[in-house]
Amino acid sequence: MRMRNRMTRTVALLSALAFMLAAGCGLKPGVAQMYGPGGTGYGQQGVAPGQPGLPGEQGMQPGALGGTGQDAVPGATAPGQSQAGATRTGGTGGTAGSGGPTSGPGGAGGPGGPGGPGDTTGVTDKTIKIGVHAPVTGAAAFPQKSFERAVGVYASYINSKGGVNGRKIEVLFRDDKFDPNHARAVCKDLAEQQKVFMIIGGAGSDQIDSCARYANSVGVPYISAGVHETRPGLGSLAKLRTYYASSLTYEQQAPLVTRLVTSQFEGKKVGLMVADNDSLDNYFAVQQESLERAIGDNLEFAERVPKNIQSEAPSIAAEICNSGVEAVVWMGSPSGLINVTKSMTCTVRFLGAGNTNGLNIVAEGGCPQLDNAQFFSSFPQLDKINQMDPNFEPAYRKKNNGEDPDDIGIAMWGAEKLVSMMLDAGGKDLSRQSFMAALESGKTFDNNVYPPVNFGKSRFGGTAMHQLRADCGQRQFFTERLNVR
Amino acid sequence: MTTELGIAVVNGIFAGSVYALVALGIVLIYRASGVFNFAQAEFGTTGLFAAYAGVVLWNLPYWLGLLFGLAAAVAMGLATERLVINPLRNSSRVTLLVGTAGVALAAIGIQFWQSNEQPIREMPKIVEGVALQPFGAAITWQHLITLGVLIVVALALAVFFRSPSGVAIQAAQQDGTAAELVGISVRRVSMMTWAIAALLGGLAGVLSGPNLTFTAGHLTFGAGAALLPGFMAAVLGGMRSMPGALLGGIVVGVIEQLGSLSLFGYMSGGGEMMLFFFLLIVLLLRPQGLFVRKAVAA
Repeated sequence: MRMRNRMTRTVALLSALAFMLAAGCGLKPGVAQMYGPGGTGYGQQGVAPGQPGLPGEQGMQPGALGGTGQDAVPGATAPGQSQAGATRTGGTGGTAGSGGPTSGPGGAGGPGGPGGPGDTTGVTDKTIKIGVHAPVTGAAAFPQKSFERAVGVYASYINSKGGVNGRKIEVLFRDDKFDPNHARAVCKDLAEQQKVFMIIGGAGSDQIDSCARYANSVGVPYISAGVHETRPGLGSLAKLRTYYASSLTYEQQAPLVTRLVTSQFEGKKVGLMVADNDSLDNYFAVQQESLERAIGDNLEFAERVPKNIQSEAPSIAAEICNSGVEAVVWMGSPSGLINVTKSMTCTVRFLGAGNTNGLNIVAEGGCPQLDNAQFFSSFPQLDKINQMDPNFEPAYRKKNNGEDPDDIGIAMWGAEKLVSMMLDAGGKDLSRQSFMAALESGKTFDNNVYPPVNFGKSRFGGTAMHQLRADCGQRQFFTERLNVR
Repeated sequence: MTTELGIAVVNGIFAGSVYALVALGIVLIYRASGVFNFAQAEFGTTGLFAAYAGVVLWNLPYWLGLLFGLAAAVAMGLATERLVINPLRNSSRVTLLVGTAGVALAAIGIQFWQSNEQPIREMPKIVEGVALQPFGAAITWQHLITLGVLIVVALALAVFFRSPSGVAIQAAQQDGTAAELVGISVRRVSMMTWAIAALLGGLAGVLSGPNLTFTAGHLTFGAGAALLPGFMAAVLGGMRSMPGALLGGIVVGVIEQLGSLSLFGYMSGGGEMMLFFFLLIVLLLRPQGLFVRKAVAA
């Protein structure tokens, strides 16, 4: 009995320590940076009278009263979406329509009426503060220095040209540790403590989902590259009042992936492997159906794989090689893809949607098995960026003491440039309402890095993707085609 | 299904050989000092990072890089003994355990700090290529070398524990004062034990690292995570049996791989769940461990 108790205590102790170690993993201290003009006191500037109230929950309550005192933004809300639920002092403006999936056409803020000031949190006469979160530590394992160098390059560039409508852009960066809970926490910090005007999601679909839903709950505009469209139990990202996807979602990319398969592997066996994150359930179903319709029985397998592939890598690799497929449509974490390719004895073509699998760090780790892999991406690779935007490389080198740029630099440059164009479109009297109204006005934003973006019809504003291909000779991806639709 | 099962067993044996190396180090430390060493896997990751630096960054000959990696692991083991274990030798076991966890976290922190520029690293294999493909599972030469090293290590440890030095370790653990009285330096024995354990961890690191890419904390929570499986293997071996730890490692590897069968739909954490259930059942039925005889009450 004593022996048994001792063993039980031992196991309990070991488990507790294991959790402690796991909890301590992935910590990189000090991954929180500010770029752009410094020296501004946080949370003090430019906050409109009355903090933004909670937005109307989807389908539950009507949007709150529109702004008062100044012109409200006409047409700030699209049908079926709720107005920012800010409550302010002063006269009453237009009343927003009810939000949510079941709501009718949402009312716009009082058009041209004596509305109040829009929600100008994070905006002063001289600055606009925006937040960025991305995974620097954790399973994604992107280089910290890459993000540190990348974030703020465009902000520094545009600030040197006078800023956006005379305001300089401040960029605050936070590491979300590839963890949805941590992503929510850093976004809460950005929104509530740092009082940023808006937030950009850098990478990681679960983290983007988590932060986007939080940002919506506090009325903060949130922009990321397209990820999944919906999550079981939480609904579609398109229903979020403040969310905007600046490139095609995974589901929207499914037909492009299928076309890539049929154009190169007609009559050949193909497999589909998608990580078992519940946020990818819908993509898995859409992609599977699309492939089945296009290639029928040649879809040899369609399976879910673990989110973090570790000890499972050899089994997955063996299954791929034993199946006789010539191509695998892959949607999973970059590190998982690398681990699988390291265990493979055969050569297959990997292809798929998303941004992160097309990063050069994946080619470095996954080659030579990843040779010729094709992934869609919202940004081009280093071989094309100088033709598309000659300002990128000089600006990158200028901010980073002559360091060579990498593709994470391109991604962040594109995101910041796009957001700067959108901020510009928000007008001189920039507020969150005017910003979102500008996005939903039907205007196309083409920054020569991302494919053109238009939110006129949907919060999923992507119109095309760039196609990348891995060159294992150089251990990097190159841009195979631009603006694939 | 047979093919899949075969793949799981084959992959499990080779994954298990790494767990066994880690488990042997855990059992060695536990037998010698009663400490649960949570830094055991990090000896391996540190050795791997050092070997990577030697082979890839400094272009040393592979064998020299490997030796450098193992030396770094041993140095870390000795430093842990001198700076953490020895000063805390009169503390409770829980304090010592937390001390070793602190060593692991510190090592992981340093690895993160040092690998910021290139978080995903790749160590070349000793011999490239695939040796066998039973059931379609890729058995690389690296896998075979790892298994071979495990067998050699197991034999060497068996011989060692019958040598005067091996007996000294056991004597020092059972009664330090009595051991000192018969001329055994407990301090030296403790350092030797930690050095051997760190060497075992280092071997696990430098041999398993080339099979996957590696990041900071590779053997603790990364792609090659072997700490928890190593502890499970040690528990299966009753925490005191070296052959038990070795066999426990192989069993843990195989059970874990069974969790990745498509039967379970590649469920996330399927392997870990299988392992915990297995361990629970074993502890309920044979609390003394799988590979040790039941203790007889005095």
